[in-house]
Amino acid sequence: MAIPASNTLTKIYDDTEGDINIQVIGYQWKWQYKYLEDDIDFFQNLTTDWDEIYNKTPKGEFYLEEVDEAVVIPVGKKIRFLITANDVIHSWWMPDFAIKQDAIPGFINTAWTIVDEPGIYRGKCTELCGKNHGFMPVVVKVVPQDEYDAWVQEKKDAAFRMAELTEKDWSVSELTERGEGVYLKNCVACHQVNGQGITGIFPNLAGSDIVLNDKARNIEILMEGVQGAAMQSFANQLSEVDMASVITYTRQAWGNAENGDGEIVVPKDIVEYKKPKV
Amino acid sequence: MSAVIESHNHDDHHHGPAKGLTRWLYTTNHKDIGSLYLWFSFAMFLIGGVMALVIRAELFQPGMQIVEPEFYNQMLTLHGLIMVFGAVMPAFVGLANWLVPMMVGAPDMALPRMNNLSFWILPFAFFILLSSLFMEGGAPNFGWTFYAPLSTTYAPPSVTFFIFAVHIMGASSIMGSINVIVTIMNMRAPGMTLMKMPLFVWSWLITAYLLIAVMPVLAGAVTMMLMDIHFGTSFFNAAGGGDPVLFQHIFWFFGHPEVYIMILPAFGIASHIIETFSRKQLFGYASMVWAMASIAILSFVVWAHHMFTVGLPLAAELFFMWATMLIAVPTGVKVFNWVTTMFKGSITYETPMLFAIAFVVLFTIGGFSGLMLAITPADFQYHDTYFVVAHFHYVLVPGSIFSIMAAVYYWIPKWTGNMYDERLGKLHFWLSFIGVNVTFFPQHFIGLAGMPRRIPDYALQFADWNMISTVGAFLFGASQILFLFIVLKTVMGGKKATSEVWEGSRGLEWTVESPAPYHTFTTPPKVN
Amino acid sequence: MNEGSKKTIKTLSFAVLGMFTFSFALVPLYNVFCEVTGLNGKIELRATNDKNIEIDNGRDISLQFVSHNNEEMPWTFKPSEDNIKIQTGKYHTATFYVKNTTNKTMVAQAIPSVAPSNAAAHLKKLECFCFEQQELAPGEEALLPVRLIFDDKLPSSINSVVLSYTIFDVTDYDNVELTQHSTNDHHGHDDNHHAQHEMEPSI
Repeated sequence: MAIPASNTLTKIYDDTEGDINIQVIGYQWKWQYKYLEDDIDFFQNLTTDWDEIYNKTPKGEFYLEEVDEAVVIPVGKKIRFLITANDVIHSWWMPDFAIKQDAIPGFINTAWTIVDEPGIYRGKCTELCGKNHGFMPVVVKVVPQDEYDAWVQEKKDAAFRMAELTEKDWSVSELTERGEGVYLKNCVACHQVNGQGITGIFPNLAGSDIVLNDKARNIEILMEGVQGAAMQSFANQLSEVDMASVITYTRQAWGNAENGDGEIVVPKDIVEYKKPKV
Repeated sequence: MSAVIESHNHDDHHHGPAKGLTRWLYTTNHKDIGSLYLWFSFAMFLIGGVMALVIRAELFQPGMQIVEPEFYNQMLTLHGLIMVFGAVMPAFVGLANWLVPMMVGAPDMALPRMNNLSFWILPFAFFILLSSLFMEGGAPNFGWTFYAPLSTTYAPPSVTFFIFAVHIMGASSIMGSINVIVTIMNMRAPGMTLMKMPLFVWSWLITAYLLIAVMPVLAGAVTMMLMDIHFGTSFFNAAGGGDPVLFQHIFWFFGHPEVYIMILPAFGIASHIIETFSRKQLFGYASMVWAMASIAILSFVVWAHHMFTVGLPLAAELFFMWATMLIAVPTGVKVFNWVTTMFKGSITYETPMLFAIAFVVLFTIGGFSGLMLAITPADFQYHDTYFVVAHFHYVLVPGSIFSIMAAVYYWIPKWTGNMYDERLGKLHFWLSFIGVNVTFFPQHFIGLAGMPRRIPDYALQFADWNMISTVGAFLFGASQILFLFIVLKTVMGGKKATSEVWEGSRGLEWTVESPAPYHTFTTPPKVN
Repeated sequence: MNEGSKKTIKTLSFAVLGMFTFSFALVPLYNVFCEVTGLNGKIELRATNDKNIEIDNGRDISLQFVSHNNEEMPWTFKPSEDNIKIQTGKYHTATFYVKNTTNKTMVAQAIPSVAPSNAAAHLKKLECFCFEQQELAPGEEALLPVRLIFDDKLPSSINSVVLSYTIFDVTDYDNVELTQHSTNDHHGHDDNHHAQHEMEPSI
């Protein structure tokens, strides 16, 4: 048994280059992917509704296995994954590709695959990484080469369009509507759908003094995170548009609009914040 | 306990146990301390068991029904710590305390007062550990394997108490092991050479050496954690030039021998019971000793098979794969010897024998899944999934725990002077046997189907087997209440036991009365 | 208690102490082992002493740079070039652009890692911004150099290497010195930190 296993293992440890190199970064509790050749960069979050998880609505077919953005790769090409982590140890597992490598902060692990069949393939995080270890799945979509090329082009166009969106003038309702979507994806796990948080652990946003009256501090918290607390910085994960809209949403929802100073945040505010302060 | 007195010619003031509750606080008698350890481990087994039921209840169906993910992680962490350090290890130490002196013909352990200390720091340590549930930030939530940096930079404040508790448990084990080794090496009755010792004594001699070698390494690991957390060092922090993988190397250098620590005494128990109930001398005594020693030595060079996915170089992965597969050989020798002992034996199936046979069969199943895990490229698929959970629960529950139960049924007539209720014992066995298999066998399937470990909720395709596993867990849990009842009932009364208790039993402990007198072998017996 | 018992107790107690010390000794032992064998993609965090590793007709390899900000540390940090072709046996200087976009002075530590891991033993550096902590004032930016070489004993199966740097925010650390910090004279060390940052990307 050991001999065929040794041969297989040696082949797995192939160290030649890939056609496409993708850096995979594990976060608490999502994945980030950077396509090194094409400068594509996005996060992958679980999209299963927390209402389904808490048994308020029926569970969908891909319960706990669905994400907002799949990793897209072409068939037949050698893909090399460069796996690391942003905080604690995670592990990137794609059972159908027979790949599992730990994601260790500060270090890179490699894995490679060549997929022959187009399709949607699902994986999981396989190293205890905190509270939502069970809630950060992986989805890889394998497509024919021409579809892949189209996707790459679309990503580049989207980056360009995002720049335009940042410049545009947004209405309060446009921001709030977009912001609600961002909130449900990124914030609800801790701050809850009703903005009440969990007493003693995650602060409430509904009726919170910062959200009601302190726009500057509100932006600072989202951009920098809070030292020594679970609240991380979202500056790298949210575009300026998404950042502005989610902050505006929280300042408007749950009666906050009536009870607070009514200040909203627009994308240009975030661009301004990012400029060097000297 | 009995107060029957033998004539003795030393100045000891005891003529039987002291009266009152303080007897248990101050006792230096190996029988008393053995009982303390056994009762303590039973209590921990039930507490750890309740935590397991919280876990299984949450996993009964997809969705979060009972607890929040943060608390779930505390439950899985404490379940592991309590079962390993609070149930299995103290139970084996309790058995060692009761049996080793009698089996070698010694009057007590070599260091009776240190023996008392070794026990009494344990409730203290577990009180600290369990009280962390009520601390701010909750109990430790990083798994019983507590990898850095989840257990250092990202840990709740209770981690410091966790470290303190681990130090105390480690000290207890180390002191206990010193006691066992000194007793065995220096206090055997004349004529009892090493190769005449009962196998349970051999198993504990080897286990004690393993403990001496690796518990200090665990102490080192948690001390380094403490320094990283509180004193600004960077053993495991990449930012300061350290390495999270170093933690895993140090932990598993302890951790792998640890799992053999948790099974070797079980091997010893199985040998005794199978021999007695087959009414036939154990086959291959010398090879049994050789096998246990080889397993112990090999256990030092296989640790990285827990780390196949961290990115070790190819040469290391190959080495650890080959070394791990090698351990199957001496283990196989032992299984072969047990089966051969039973072959053409005159077998009766009292409760201890039922547990012992189930041990051999089900431990072997656990061994097979272990062999599958040893194959590195295959392990890439199994690692950190329920397949691993199934493997280690098979070797620990129908492995270690069944052997402990077998030992209790086998020796309790010697300890109490009363036979346990055979009908109830068999009932307990069958309920446990069914419970354990219904709980853990399906976990092989869900692991292979893709369910990771340590998750509080899962995708829908894992639902059916999880539900079945939970039903099994509750059945198994309920049958341990029956066990508690059986033990209490036996302590309080029952059919009187003879010295020999079991037809075909061999060993010095069966030459004294049942219940064994408070002091035995105050004059050493002659062994031929 | 008989003499034999006392002797055994003494021996065992020493064994316990010895194993405890051994676990601490594992720390430097592990690092030495990693350096010697190139495990885990660990690279020496100090300048190489190797002379004579330069050769003239080395083979081509492609070197890819990857960067990451640990814990979303708020600096801009990226390689000046993502992908370069170099020869074994020849020194190459690469640079990384870094900028402190906050309004506080901060200190960062870069930690390198290499894939495939068996390339690490063959990667030597004459200078690297990872040898020291880097301090930047608010708004300050810099081009940080790394001068590296692959010796020609690099296994022939390796044609492409990924060199990753992760930067960590160490502003609040009590002057943590790297465990492998060298006291060797390495290139440019007699200048202070800021002088090293003066940018002139070189080949």
